Amino acid sequence: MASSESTTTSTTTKVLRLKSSDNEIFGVEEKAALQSETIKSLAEDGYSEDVIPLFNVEKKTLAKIVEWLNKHASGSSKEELKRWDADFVDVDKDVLYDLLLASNYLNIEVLLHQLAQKVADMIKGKKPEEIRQLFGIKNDFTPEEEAEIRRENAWAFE
Amino acid sequence: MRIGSCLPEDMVREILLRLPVQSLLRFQTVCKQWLALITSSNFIDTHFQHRPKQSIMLSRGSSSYMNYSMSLLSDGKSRLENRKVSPSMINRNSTDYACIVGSANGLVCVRGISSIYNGDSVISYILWNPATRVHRHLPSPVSKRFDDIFGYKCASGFAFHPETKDYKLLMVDDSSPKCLKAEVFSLRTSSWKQVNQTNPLGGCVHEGSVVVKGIWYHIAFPKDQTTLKNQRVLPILKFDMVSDAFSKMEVELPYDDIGNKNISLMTYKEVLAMSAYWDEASTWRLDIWTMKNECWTKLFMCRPFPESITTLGYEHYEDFKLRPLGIWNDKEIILFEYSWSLHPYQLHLYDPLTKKSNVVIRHQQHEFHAAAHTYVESLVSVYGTSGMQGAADGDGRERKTEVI
Repeated sequence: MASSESTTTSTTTKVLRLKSSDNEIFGVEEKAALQSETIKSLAEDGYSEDVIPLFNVEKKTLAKIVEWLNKHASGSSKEELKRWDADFVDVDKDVLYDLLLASNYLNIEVLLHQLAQKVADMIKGKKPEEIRQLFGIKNDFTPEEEAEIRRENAWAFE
Repeated sequence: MRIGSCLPEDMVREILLRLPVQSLLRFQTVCKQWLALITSSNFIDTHFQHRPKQSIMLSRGSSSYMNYSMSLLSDGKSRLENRKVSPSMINRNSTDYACIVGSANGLVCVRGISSIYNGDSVISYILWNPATRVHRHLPSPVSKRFDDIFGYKCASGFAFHPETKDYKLLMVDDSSPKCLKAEVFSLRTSSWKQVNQTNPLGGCVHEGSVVVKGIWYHIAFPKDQTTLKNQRVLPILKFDMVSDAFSKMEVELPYDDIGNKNISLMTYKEVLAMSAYWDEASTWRLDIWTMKNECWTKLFMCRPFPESITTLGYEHYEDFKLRPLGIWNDKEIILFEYSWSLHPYQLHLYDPLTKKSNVVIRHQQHEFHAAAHTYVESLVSVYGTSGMQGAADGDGRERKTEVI
């Protein structure tokens, strides 16, 4: 009985070690870590006994991601998670940008969608010029082309 | 974010998919990549699936028939948004009557009837995207029967069929009980097709229909009132928007007979639903049923109604009417309460689970039409071609709708 219990405990609390690009190691319970499709496939490839290297994620971002993974594996109620998620994505735009890239690289679909929604809410009222500045996009339209597209939907610019 | 940094295109797409139509129309001018993305058919077809579900209704001022408004019911703080629709959309002359035939993927099909000076009427079919504010007058049906004043009572439906990816408008003539004469407009071919078929039910076509997953359903009660009251099955006429064929469905009613019940069809979670409401010993009762395995299954029983409904004291008037217009967001029942002798009306949202209702609008001057249709805003073109560029390259009859 005691031995079966300890077996159960050891399987449920198996910890994966994730290494950030700047060599910080984070221990994460397997159940939480496997929400990332990328970690899942790396673990299946035999990295699970060792350290899983995540070359594209810095420690400050990975710390946030680990926080998210743990919370979403903790069995919190839907309402509780909703509140927690709203706070989680309420960060400045640079952090948001890093989280977006990391969640894309780590392939955590739920988080990616939450972050995309957050960015969408943030930019929906902005002007095209502000969008270009925010995303570092170069305007490749001629003034005539831009005026033409603007004219078609002039009301949307009001 | 950071100057000079650029998000990968698939992430830009994830973000843009979550933006309202107005922002997207504006962001077309950000750069060529964004324009190409926003106007691609793949993006347009995915985008509306991310938009919140709303209910759309058409209402008009009782003082001026010309004065139509679009009412959108959504989950926000101000739940009901009313926007005036320019009369020029429905008809440049005068419009006596306009109603929404149906709504699919952000396209709303409107039917307008207008009288001309010599007493003749002209019916116009308008395909309208309220979000992009573009509308288009559809060509007239082949048969004259749908083009005169008698056509105003004919049954109709508008639907998108996911298999054929085509939008279709159906018009059914109910003048002969034996033969169904119908016409179907396909957005893909931009033309009407005539369908003549023996009526599988032999009944009369009744007003009010609904489209579920590309199938049009319509209650076809017999004309004879006595037969109607003793009816134990609900005769439903079906029309398949892929094969363009009618068929029948006769389902036993969950009641001994129809009696004085008002039966209407609706949709609930993309399944056919039926509402029955009636006055039983001066108490209003409303039942909602959904179709499961060819049987009516109980969904909500609203008995008795909360007292907050009928606060206008309408119940003392003989012409008091309470009518369920539909189910909003698969959750709350939209109830329309009115009296012809007293003009004001109320629109309630009634949650059958909490038994709470709230008045979303109380108005002196408007009248709502027939039904609330499920609506999501979209970039889908009224020309059915892929994307907005297709619309811009259309036949030049594209018009911007003035919404004030």
